[in-house]
Amino acid sequence: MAEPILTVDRVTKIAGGRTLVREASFAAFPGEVVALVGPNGAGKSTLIRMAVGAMPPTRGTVAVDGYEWRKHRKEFARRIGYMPDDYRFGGRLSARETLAFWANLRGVPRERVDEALSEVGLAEAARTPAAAFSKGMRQRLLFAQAMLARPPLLVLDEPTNGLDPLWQAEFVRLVRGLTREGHTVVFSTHQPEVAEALADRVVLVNRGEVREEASAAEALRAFFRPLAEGLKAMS
Amino acid sequence: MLRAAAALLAFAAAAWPLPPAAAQDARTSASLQELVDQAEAGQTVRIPAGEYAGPVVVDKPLRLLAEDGARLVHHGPEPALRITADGVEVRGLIVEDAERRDAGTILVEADNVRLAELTIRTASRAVRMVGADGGEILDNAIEWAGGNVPVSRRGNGIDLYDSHRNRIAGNTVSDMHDGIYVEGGDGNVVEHNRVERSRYGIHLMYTGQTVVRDNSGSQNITGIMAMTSHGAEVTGNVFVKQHENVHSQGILLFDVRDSLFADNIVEGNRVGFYVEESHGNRITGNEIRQNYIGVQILSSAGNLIERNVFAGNVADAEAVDSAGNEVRENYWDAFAGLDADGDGRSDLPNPVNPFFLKLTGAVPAFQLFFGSPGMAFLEGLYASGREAWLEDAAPLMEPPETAGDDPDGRRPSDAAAGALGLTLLAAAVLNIWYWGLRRS
Amino acid sequence: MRSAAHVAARELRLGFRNPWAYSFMALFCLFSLSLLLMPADRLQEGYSAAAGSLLNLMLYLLPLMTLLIGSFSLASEKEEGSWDLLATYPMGTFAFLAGKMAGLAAVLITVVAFGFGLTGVLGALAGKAPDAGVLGMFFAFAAGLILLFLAAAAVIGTLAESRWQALTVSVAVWFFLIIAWPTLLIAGLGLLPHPWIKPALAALTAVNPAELVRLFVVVKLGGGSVFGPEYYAWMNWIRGAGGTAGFLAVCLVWIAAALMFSHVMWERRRTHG
Repeated sequence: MAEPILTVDRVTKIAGGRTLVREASFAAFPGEVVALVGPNGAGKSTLIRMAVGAMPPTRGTVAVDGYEWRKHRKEFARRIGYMPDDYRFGGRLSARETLAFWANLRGVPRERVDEALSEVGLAEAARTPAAAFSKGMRQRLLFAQAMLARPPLLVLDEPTNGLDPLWQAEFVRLVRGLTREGHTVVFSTHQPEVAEALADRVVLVNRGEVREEASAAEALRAFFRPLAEGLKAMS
Repeated sequence: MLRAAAALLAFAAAAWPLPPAAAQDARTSASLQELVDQAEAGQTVRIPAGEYAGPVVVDKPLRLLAEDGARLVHHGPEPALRITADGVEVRGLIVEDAERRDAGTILVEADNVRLAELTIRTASRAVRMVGADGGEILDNAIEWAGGNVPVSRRGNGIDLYDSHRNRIAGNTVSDMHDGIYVEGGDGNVVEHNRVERSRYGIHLMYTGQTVVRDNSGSQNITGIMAMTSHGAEVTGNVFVKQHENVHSQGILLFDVRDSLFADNIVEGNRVGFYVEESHGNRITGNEIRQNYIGVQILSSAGNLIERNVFAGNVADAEAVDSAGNEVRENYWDAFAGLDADGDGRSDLPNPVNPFFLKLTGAVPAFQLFFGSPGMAFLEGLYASGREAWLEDAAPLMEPPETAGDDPDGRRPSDAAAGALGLTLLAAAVLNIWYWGLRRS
Repeated sequence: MRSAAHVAARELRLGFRNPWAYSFMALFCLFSLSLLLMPADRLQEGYSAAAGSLLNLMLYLLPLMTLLIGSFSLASEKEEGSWDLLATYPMGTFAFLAGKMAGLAAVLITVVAFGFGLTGVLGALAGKAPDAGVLGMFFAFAAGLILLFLAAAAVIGTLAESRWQALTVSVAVWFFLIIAWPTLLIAGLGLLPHPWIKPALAALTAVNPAELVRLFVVVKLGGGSVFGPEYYAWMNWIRGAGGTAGFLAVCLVWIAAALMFSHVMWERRRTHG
C-alpha cells in the first residue's frame, strides 16, 4: 500500500471544558473513498474541521501528503478541497461571483468557474444571489467550491444533507468519477446507506472517539445493532 | 597677464562712482534747523528736496512745507523733530529715524500743531504729543523701520499723553506697537485712520469723550482696545482678521463706561467683541461676523446690547457673571427662534450658556475642547442657574437692513469647486457602478 | 498579496451592495448639503462657522459609520462561518485582514467622495460653491478619519464574539470617544493636581483619533488661536510642516498598532483556537 495522503494522528479537541474529540486517528490512502459515519453530535464535524485546518486541534497532528498543517500551512491548503456542513452566504454576491472569489484565491482560471457550476447543475442560477439558494443548491455550490482546483484530497462534511434523491445519485456519480481520476475523497455522513454506496472504508465515530475502521457492511451492522436490539426489546 | 590687469583697473576706475558735485543750494548738514532759525514767526518756509540731518527744534509758529523728496534723516538721542511753539504746521516731509528712544521721532509739546502728509519711518514712537491740545495729525503714513523686533518692543504710531481735543485723521500705521495710543486725554477725535499688523490698532487709556470713528484695520492683535475710559463714541469702524494671536480681539472694552459702540464691523477675528467690567454702554448695530467667538462678556452689567448682527461665527457668544445687561433684538444666525405673534422678534429667548467660560476660567487647559462635539453635548447637560445667564430676550427673526453682503465682496470660484466636486462624484459613481451595481 | 487584492475586491462588492452604506451616504449628503448651502454661511478659507459645522458633522457621523460597518464586516466572517472556510485556503491571515481593510476603506471613502462631490457640484450650480481648496482639504481629513477609525473597527471586529457584540461595542466606543469625551475628561482630570492636568490632557488627546483630527483640522484652517494661550506653542508647531509630519506619524503609529494587534489576535485564533 502506498503512503497515506491524509494522516490524522491522535487529534484531540477540548473546548469550553468539554472534550469534543479524543485521541482520534485515521488515514486515507490515495484514490480511496473514506466515510466517517456516526450519529449526530458524535464529533464528525469537529474532526473534519481539524483535518482540513479550519480548526486548530488542542493536541495531535494532521498532515496531507506529508505536509503537516502547523508547519506548512500553504502547501497543506493547496492540496485540500473542503466542503463545510453549514455555511451562511451573506451579502449579495451571485453564485458565480462567490465561486469566482474562491477560484481567484486558489489561482484557478475563470473558465473553470463556469465549468464547475455546470458540473453541479447551477449554470442557470449563476447570476442569482447565493443567499437566495435553497439548501440543496447551497450544498451543490459548496461542493463545486471544494472541487474548483481539482485538489488531490477532498474532505466533505455531510455532503448529501438536503440533497434530493436525484442529486444524491448525481453526487455518487461525481465522486466515483473523481476517484477514477485519482482523487481521494473523505466524507462524513449520518446516513449509512450513502456510506455503503460509496465508501471503500468506513470509520465509525461516536462520542468524540474513533471506534473502528470497518468495511461498509460491517459498519452498517455495527451501526444498526443497537437500534435492532432496542426495537427487539420493545416488542 | 599684465595687460589684463591693466584693463581690469581701467574698467574699475571708469565704473567707480564719482563723488557728487558740491551742493549748490541750501541742503545737507544742519541746514533745516538753519531754515527754521532764519524764518520769522508766522512765515511759511519751503523745504527743498534733499536730505537733511536732525535734530530740528521749532520754537516759533511756522508753516514748514516740504517739497517732494525732502528727507529728514536723523541719528542721535534727541527727537528728529521737536515742536515747542503753538500753531506750527509741518507738511509733506519724509522723516527717517533708526534710533530707539523714549521721546519719539516727532515730539509735540505745544497746542494747535498740525502735522500733515508726513511719511515717518521710525524705530521709536513716530509722533508723541505731550500736553498738546487742539492739534491735527492728518494723512500721515507711519511705518516701522526698526528691524525684525517683536511687536511688543516697538514704538507706538501716534501717541497722545494728556492731550485734549486733537484730531487724528486719515493716517496709516503699519507694523508698530499701538497704532494710535491716547492716554488720559479728553475730547480727541480719531477718525478715518488705518492700522495694520500692530499690537493694538487704537488704544484708549483713561480717556474721556474720545470719538473713534470710521477707522479700519486688520491683522493687529486687538483692533480697538478701550480701557478705563468713559463717554467714548466708537462708531463705523471696520476691524477684520485679528485672529492669529491667542489674545486677539476685534474690539475690547475693559472698565469702560457710558460709551457708545455702534455700527462697527468686526469680522474674522478670534473674538469679535470682548467686554469685561464695563457698565452703562450701548453696543448696538454692529456686525459681528465670521469670528471664532462673536462676543465674550464677563462681569459686566447695565449695558444695552441691541440690534447687532451675529453671522457666521463659530460660537456666537460666551458670557459669565453678566446677567444684568439689557440684551434684545439682536440677530443670531445660529439661533432658530419662534415668532408666534408675527412681530419679527422671537418669542423664545436666546440664552448664553456660561459653562465654557466658567470652565476655562478655572482650568485654562480645557480650552482645548472649544468647538468639540462632546462639548456641545456637555453644555446641553449643564442647565443650572439659568436665571443668572445672559440672554437675548427677543432675538430678531431676520437680520436688520444694515446687514449686507461680505464687505470685501470676495466670492470663491464656483468653477473650481464644481470641477473638484465633479471629479469626486464621478469617481464615486464609477466605483459604485463597477463594484456594486454591475452583476456577473 | 494577490490574495489581499481578491479579498479587497470582494469587500468592495459586498460594501456597495450593502444598504447600510447607502443609508450613511444619504445621511451624509443630506447634512453636508444643508450645511454648506445655507444662506450666509459659505465655506471659505479659514476657520468659520461653516467649517466648524462641517467638522462637527464629520466627527459625529464618520466614526460611527466606520466603526459599525467595519467591525460588523469582520465579525460577520467569524459568525457566518466564511472565515472557517477561508482558513483552509492557501491565504495568510495578514493578507486577509489587509484585504478586508483596504476594501472597506475604499467603500467608505467612496461614500464621502460622493457626499463632497455632490456638494461641490450642486453648490457650483447654485452659485454657492465652497472654496475648492477647503473642500479638498475636508475630503482629505474625512479620509484620514475613516482610516483611523477603520483600524479601531478592526480591533473591535477581531475581539468581538458575535456581530451583535461588535455593533454594541462600536456604539459604545463612538459614544466614549466623541460624545462623552470632554465630560469624562473634565470630571476625571479635575481630580488631578493642577499642574498635571495639561500634560494628562495632551497624552489622552493623542490616544483619541477623533480629537487628533479635530485639533489638526482647526489649526490647519488657521483657527489655532481659539484654543488659548496654553497651547500657543503647540498650535504654532502643528501649523508648520513639522506639525503635519508629526500628525501623519501619529496616525500611522495608531493604524499600524491597531492592525498589528488585530493580526496577532486573529492569527492566534487561527492556530490556537
